[in-house]
Amino acid sequence: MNRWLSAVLPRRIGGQILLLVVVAVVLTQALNFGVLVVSDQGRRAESQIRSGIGMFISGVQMMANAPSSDWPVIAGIVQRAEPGLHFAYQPNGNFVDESSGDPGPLGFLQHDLGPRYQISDSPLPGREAGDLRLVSVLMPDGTVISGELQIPPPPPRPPLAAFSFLIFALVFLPLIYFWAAWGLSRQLNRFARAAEGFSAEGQHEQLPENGPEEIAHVARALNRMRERIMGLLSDRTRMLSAIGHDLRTPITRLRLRAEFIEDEHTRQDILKDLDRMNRMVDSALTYLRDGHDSEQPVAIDLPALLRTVSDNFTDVGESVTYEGEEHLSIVAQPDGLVRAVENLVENALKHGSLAVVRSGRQGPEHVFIEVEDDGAGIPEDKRTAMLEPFVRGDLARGGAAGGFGLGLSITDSITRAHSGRLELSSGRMGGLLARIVLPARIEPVRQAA
Amino acid sequence: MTTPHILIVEDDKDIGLLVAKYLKANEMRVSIAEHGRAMDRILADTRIDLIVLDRMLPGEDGLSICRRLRAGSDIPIIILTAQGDEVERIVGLEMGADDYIGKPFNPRELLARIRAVLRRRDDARVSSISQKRSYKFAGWSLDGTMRRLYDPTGARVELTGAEFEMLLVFCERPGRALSRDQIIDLTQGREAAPSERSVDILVSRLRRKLERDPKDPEMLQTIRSSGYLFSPEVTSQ
Repeated sequence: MNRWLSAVLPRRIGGQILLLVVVAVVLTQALNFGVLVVSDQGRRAESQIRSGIGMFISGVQMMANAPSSDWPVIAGIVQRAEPGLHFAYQPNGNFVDESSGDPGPLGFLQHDLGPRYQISDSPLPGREAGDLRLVSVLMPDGTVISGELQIPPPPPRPPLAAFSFLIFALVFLPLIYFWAAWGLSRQLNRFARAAEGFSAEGQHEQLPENGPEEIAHVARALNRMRERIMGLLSDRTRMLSAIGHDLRTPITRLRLRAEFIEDEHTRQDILKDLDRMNRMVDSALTYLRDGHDSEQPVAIDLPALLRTVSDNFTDVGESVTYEGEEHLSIVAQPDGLVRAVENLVENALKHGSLAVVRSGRQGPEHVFIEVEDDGAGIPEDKRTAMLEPFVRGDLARGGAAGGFGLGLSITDSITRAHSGRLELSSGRMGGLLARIVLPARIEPVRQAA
Repeated sequence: MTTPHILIVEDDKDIGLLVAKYLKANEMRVSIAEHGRAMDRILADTRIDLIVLDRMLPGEDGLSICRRLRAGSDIPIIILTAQGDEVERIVGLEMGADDYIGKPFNPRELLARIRAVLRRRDDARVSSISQKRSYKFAGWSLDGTMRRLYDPTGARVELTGAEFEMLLVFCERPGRALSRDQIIDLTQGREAAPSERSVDILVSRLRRKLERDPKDPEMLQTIRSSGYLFSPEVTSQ
């Protein structure tokens, strides 16, 4: 069926729209024609019913105003004019008023005849179907006039033919166009989402390469582009990883050789540079490994962890203090969290002279970690960019301060792995205030791919 | 203690020679093996006190060598791993290594760790305390192998290296008043060269992590004019 359809339907968007318009116009005309025919028949039937009722009323009124000797003639005329009425009268006939005072569907008759007449109706004996009923009128002199009438008469119809096109134009055409537009925009939205959600870490499904030819073409192009980007990314990963690992050995050798340098001053300088090189290699390798770490989340004491990080910096002469809760148990990946906070503190000390680490609860289900420095801060418009890998705050100073610009991105991705978020703002000391907000209990993380 | 004989198993010749040179300068005898088979030959006819074993070796790799050695002896082993690789570290310690150190390393730190491991071994032989280094006290537990501390609720409490070493010293000697000098001596050579002042700092840091009220310590008590005493009952496993 589908194959048959797709063989017949035009494949390009232009053709599909043309087909749609043609189908819509044809449908409109067909509907119009149908409505005309149907409403014409309806009107004929309606006029018959109306004339039956009118004839019945005229008959009753004529008889009321004529001497009883003329009644047979009047009845005869009415009967000939509307044979379907079965118009008849009976002097002192049997009149049973079954109506309960509520004129009900006979109200219109009562209205036409006036209050001097009593009217009742009953189902026609032996005939169940339809609205055809035996209507009896009790004249003031006791005569009962009866006839078979369709009660109630159908209400007058609106000129449907005139409205039908309007209804079609207002309801069906928009629906058809909406359906067509939705079909197209759904595809385009999917492309947008696919492009938006594209990242190096995520798993990606191929976009389905079907639909109109142009759409399928775009899907194919997007899929191929994604493959090429993934290829480039994995090349980058391999290259960085190789450089990182290969640098380790010469750095280790240099580190050992430096120990035999007699001049204390030179040795310290060399050690400092080696240390910086090593940290850069480390951050690159950590960045590459992130998202592929399978550290299990466990219950930890957050303040103890933050104190440990701060104390490790204090022990090498930096000015880092911890403030806040004394004990706060959360579930997290401890080594990942240490790395995340260390990066923030390193960053703080790179741009300021001191760092303050804080933690506490934020609402019943979240905890926060803050690292603030007294440096110059990051202008608001550059903060988002700082979370990107290989972006450094100050390009001119980047070389001197050291690092590949991976610190904040590593922290950001660790935070996201904890279902948390990293916010950058300006602190009270004028420097950068980095704030990590984490759920107090994260689910054991899914094994990263 | 006689001059200890250290065997370095390292495939990078330069690193092997440099480490050897440094250790020799610090009164140690050193042999170098470039792979597992060379190591076996040396072990066969030399009495070795400690092995410094590279994790990455051509042929049989460091972990497998470590497991093989452990099957037949309790010779102290320090593993050289790639720095910051948590998994490597844990695997190494589980394979029976006594300690690990990440590359690139500070040779002073390697020396300190070699000395610490040797001293622990001597301690163990003299006092015949077995090498089980896990302790429980007041609901807390200290895992000596993984170097981790858990509070009574089971939450992991992060410690710096120096804090861990000091807590280990206290756990090994509960209910005994330890002077600052003793503590320095027992924890010596780990991180920074400790001073009396740094002992006090470490104690106060430990109290903040361990005590319900750090200002009124129950576990880590100050003994006036002599030092500190670790009061809880400690069970080792």
